[in-house]
Amino acid sequence: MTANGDLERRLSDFYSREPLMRAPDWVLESALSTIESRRQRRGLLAPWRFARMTTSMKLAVAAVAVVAVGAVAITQLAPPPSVPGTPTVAPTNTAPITAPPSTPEPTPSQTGYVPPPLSGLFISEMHGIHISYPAGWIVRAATEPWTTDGEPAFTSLAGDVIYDPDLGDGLFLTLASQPLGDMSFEEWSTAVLDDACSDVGPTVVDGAAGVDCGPGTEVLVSRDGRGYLIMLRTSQDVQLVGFDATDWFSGVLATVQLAPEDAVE
Amino acid sequence: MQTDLVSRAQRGDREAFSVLAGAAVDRLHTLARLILRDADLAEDATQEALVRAWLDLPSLRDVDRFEAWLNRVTVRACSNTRRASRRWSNRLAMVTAEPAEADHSSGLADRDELERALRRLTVAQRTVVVLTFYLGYPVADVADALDIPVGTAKSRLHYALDALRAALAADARSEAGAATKERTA
Repeated sequence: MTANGDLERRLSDFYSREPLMRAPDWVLESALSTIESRRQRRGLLAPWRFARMTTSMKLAVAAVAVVAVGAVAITQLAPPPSVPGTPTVAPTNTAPITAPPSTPEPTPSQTGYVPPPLSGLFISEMHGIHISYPAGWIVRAATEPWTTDGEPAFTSLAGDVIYDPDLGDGLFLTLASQPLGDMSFEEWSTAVLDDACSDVGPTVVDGAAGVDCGPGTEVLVSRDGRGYLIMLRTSQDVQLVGFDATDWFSGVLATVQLAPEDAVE
Repeated sequence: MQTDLVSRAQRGDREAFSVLAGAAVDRLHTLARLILRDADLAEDATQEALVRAWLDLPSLRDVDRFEAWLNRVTVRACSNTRRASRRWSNRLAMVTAEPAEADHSSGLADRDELERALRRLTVAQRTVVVLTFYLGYPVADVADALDIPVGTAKSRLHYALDALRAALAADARSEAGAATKERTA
């Protein structure tokens, strides 16, 4: 008998005797009352529409899609029919002058979630951060200083939250900062991340060094004794087809300017 | 029956969702209690899980996996709740970490010992333990529930068991020390 096996058996036994713990009535009542005023989020793929399809139906739909895409491609790429008696122009490497240097028309298989361009500029008076954000996204500026060591949630008043109005807390940026006080940056970042990052690595934002938590959508950096948290949160349950969160977030980070002197103490 | 309710709820039927929520609330609350080891936080997490489940239900691809999906939503709600109130929770942990009276008077001593050791784990570690030993998830499902690679789930479980073993050993040492003091007194 190994020590591992013994502990595992103890744990299995421990949990098998765990009784079901009845939730107070207010938990269910409050949740149901909340959803009365909340509309469900519809993912871009609306996967529920396909949930009850059989495999053969899915294959049929896929085949139709392939044929449709092929037809569009042939229509777009095929040369115009030549008039009998006129010479056919051989293709050259020179692009036609009238052809715009743009990407091809998207086909159904290429469409996906593309955030608007980063044309908005937000200056956080509470946290001392300047950042560009997607046009049309909603900014909810912090109204309270960030004083806890837990990350501000979507509903928190301590973080600046910038979100896609169609996705709500399915896709949003959070900005927050606080004085490091007596802590070193390492102590502070460890307290904020709370053992929740799978792969912490170094990063730099606006010339300030810090750490990147896991898959590259949450960073902590410090400048002049102030710790900054910048993160992008996505819901794994919302379908953001073709959206590379890490890549997009790095583009957002490139626009960041840290201004600790402007932050509210 | 349940899949029908889930399908209806996915299409925005609040009545169907309230039936599903009513049937699941105690189970989710138990899961949250085991992960968070705190009654108030578990209630908040359960409430958040139900609201989030309603909001995100249209994205569930396979209605037959509703229960597993709901567990995953609850695990994430536990993590959010814990993070949002970490400072408060730390104070509570300090209170509950006071040396507790070990229950040697009954057959519950072993359970009590394990209970105290589990409280010493981080929430991330305890979550892996609960998913593995309470829900009986294989490591691939644990990884899926936590949205982490399988290798990370394996190592997290490994470290959680190590930490648990260390906590049990520390408890055993302190009890042995107390017994020696009593004998010499």
